[in-house]
Amino acid sequence: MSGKKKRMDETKEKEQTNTGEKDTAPADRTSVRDASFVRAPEAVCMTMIVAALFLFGILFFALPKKSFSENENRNLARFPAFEAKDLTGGVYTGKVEDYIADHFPARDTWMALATEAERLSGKKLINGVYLANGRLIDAYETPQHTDRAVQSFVRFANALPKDITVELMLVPTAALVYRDTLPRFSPVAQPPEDEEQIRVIEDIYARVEEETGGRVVTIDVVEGDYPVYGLYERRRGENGTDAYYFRTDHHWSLDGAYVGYGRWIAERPNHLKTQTTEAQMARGDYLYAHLYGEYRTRVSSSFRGTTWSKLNDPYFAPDVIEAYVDPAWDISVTYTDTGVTQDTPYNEERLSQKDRYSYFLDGIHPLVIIENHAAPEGIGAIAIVKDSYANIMIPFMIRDFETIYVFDPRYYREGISDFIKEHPEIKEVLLLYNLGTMDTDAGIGGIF
Amino acid sequence: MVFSGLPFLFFFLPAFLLCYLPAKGRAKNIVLLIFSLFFYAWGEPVYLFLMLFTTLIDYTAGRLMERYPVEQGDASEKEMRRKRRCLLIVAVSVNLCLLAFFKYADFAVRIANTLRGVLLQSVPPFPLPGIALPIGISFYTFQSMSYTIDRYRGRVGVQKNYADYLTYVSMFPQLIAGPIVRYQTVERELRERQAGRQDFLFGFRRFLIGLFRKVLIANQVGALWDAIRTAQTLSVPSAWLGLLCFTLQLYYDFSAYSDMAIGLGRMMGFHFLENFNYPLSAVSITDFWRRWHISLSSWFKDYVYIPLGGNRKGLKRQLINLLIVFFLTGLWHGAFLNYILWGLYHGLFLVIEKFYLLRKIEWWPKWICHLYTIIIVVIGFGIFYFEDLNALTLYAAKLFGAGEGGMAPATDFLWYALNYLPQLVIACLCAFPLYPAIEKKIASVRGIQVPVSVLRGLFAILFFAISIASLVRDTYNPFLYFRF
Repeated sequence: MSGKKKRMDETKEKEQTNTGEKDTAPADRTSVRDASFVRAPEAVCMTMIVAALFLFGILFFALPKKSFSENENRNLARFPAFEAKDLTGGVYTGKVEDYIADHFPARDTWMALATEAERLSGKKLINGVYLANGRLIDAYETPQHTDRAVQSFVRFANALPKDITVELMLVPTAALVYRDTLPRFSPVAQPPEDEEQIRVIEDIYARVEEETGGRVVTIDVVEGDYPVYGLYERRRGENGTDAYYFRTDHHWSLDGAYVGYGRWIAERPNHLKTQTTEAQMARGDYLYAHLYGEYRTRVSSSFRGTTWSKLNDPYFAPDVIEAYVDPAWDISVTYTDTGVTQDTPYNEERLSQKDRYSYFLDGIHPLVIIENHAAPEGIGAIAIVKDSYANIMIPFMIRDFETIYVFDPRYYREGISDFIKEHPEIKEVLLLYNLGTMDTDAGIGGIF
Repeated sequence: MVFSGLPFLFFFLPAFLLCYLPAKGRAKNIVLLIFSLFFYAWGEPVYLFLMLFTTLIDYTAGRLMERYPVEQGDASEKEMRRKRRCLLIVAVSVNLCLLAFFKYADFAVRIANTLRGVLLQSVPPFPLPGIALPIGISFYTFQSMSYTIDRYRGRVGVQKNYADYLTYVSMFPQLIAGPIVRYQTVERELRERQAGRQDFLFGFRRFLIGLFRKVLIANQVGALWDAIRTAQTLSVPSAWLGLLCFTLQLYYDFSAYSDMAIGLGRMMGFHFLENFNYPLSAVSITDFWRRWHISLSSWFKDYVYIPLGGNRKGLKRQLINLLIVFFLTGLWHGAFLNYILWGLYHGLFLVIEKFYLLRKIEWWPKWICHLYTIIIVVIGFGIFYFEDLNALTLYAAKLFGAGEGGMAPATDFLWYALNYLPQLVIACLCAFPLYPAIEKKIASVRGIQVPVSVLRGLFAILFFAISIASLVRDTYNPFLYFRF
């Protein structure tokens, strides 16, 4: 700094203190002038930061925009169309800000950095994900719209002909089943909060049974007569890891779905149990258990699911996907929206994409029809109204029916109850939801 | 737009620097003004006109006062003073009416409805006007008013250029969340200011410090406060931890905004006054108010407390004056009863200290003074947080073990504290003036300046990267003082 300039600075500072209030304390940081002088090395670093501000600003405009984030498995914000009414209250500019955050250059890398910083700082709950022992678990939030969910179930059940059996099956999330692996001291792992999901399920079951006059058969997944398969006592997988839920995804895994199928078989009314005898069930062999061990195959070892994507951090290892493939299947699976028909409930192509869980029944479709050509005459049909948890369980059910109609009520808008009335072969309806997304799927979305 | 957001950091700021730095002389103010108006309009374009109107009133009053010069001993002195006072009253009234209407109309109607419920039950309740609060109205109104009052007192010269005046009020660094910069502070710098390389670097460093304090501390302890606040069951230690977190969040949030504002101002050559001086390290409530939101408390002191007579009209009058000031301080923060309660609560302690406790405190060990102050302050911010008085009493019950799970073992405390341990420790340490002390130490040791500078630079880059990462990922990034 030149001598002249320095003198000018000094006079400026003098004036500053003269004009300032005398009562206020002196400036805490600026008062130590010498100590706070910015020297060359720091100046270089700060120049780099300024350059980064410019660089990322320019890159934002220069780089092509994606409309869908494979990593996060969601549609990214589009540039908002300008509307005059959005101008007030910062609505429009708020949308622009969302757009900027979604398309920020190197978004994935930034996310990984944010996660790593928090992980290294000792945080065990990051971006809504618990770093549990050996797995990632989505934080469970108590549904806020259980009234609407109950209403949806009741209204739907009451709209169906009386001779149809309606079953309701609510599946807890990994936060309940794996609560012993949750981080130490976390409130969700302490009683009574750790069994919150059980209470919610029991509450909904009680209300649905009451309001439909016992019409709906509720299927208890958590507790049951078959302790071997009860979720309380978790079975150890072949490689020594528990595997009822994916370690990186919010869905249950093949083992979990297998247990779910077992519970369903055990609890559905006896007159419907055409294939499975009481003797088989007593042996724990209700589900062709001998076949299950044989027909499960590993289809992917690089599954990074939705839970993983909330962290997006390569530090957390990918997961394994297994599928149940029965060589005796003689089926056709028709996706009514695309018109595609296949001879398997699986779509191999999905295994090379980010959202590998869509391997099962090809992800989201309003209505999928599975026809079992090998079925004995007259074993009937079932309609399943469900969320994505069902996709991995349905293949187990193929042998039990002639036809399975799989509805996703979020997308099927032509009236599911009307469809069922028009198909008299349907004698059974299963409603299957998981507690993690029930709020949005069954509560707000509703069933029509 | 908030300073700690991607749009500001990567678009607004680079674009502003690109236009501002090459501009010469008067053009600098024009660039600053245009960017400031855009900055304000980003949040709420309609209320831009309200701000233009407010500033126009004060600008005009300031100019008209020029016509009535007061000269000592002149025959017309009295007449001139009267006219100037008229102008002052008109301008201040307009300012206060606008503030009252846009900020307190709902509050007034709510109070009227409560009274109606007690007194005149036959009259139907009045509908709420439902006016959205114009961003930063409390800040810029006070700023603009200070000019008119100081003009009246003859403390500042006239500003003949409306654009310059508008630049002063709307200047984006301090527009929406303070500090309340008085005209006299920047009067000269509005005309001409020196901004050398050192100013720019120093200002930018200050801005970065503010950014880190906001993103890496305030947002984090704020998230913890949210988690604790919404927890179904809460042990007593956790409830206190939560309130401490809110205190830390409010302090870091607001003082970080002041840091960024002061830093941005300095980059352009403005020297705003400090707004915070480690308030959480205060040794009494009196001390706290010398350190917390200095620009507001000194505003009330100079424009309300002293004109009311301050401490010169006897003890009784001083007491009343103090309570008036703290009533207004509370009310300024928001149109809810709890803010007034909070103001009076502090006023009460101030009065007690003034007339009794301060003499005692002198003899207390230092740590007891800190403890006493922090407990009063933390409880105070509990009142400050809950606009709904029912929620306030519910939380108060939790603080004393009367809430659900209050007597349960405090495992939840361990969870909350361990999850945010580094942030909490750093937040508590940095609430004390350690950094300036270390800085002073370093300056006195020869030969380590360069390595220290390298370290500073590297840490700046590291923290910057983590901050941006956190901003890209998280949607949680509120500015608390936006509401005022």
